[in-house]
Amino acid sequence: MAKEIKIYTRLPMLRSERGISRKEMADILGIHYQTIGYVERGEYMPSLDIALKAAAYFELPVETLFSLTPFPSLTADMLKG
Amino acid sequence: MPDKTNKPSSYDAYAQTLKTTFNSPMVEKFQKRKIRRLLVLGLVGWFIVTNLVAFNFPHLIWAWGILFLGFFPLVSMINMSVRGVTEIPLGALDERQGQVKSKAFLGSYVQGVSLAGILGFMIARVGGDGPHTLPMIAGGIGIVICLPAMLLAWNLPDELDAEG
Repeated sequence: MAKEIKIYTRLPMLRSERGISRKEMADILGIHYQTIGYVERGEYMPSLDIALKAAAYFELPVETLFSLTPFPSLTADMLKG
Repeated sequence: MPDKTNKPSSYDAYAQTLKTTFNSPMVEKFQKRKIRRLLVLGLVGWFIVTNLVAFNFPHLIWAWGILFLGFFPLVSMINMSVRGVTEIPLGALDERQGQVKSKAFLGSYVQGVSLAGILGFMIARVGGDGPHTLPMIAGGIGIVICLPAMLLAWNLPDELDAEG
């Protein structure tokens, strides 16, 4: 049986930072807003097409948005300087 | 001569209408997990009650005829509760919804075949020649057809807010 892969994302943080709702994000990416929720909860791994569209929208490299390992917390990063 | 305009075909228009209907704010009340599960239990309950009436009062054809009409609103509500994912054509769904639809149909194949077998056995046991078997056959076919939507309605997690 194929191993279920969990994906980590900074999408909720970036959306909140830029004041974009799930519905607006979904319209930008051409998917249903519930799919955004599934991606954000790590319950659905988006296709490369969607990942690249999201990265292009936020003008960030795709690996800044999605990762197969948990992202370090922002406070840990800040404390490190 | 082929139509070179970008006018959507009647099939695309139909798919779009289904998508709009099943995603309208009016049907959101059916999309809570608790409500979805109640609807699935309601459909199973409907099947049991209709068959109990048919077996115990086979002469009351009008009674199970009326009960049978309950199937349609229940199935419509179950479809609304899963945003019509099993009804909307694949081309009008996004990639996750498409996967969910495929999994629901694949997952319900085994259950559907098993259920059909159980119903066939039950009909053979009770004698399949009386009018009382009609609700079991008709209801059984209805439930087997609706199985993908029922499985989704039961299994999907609670939805998130669009504005969140």
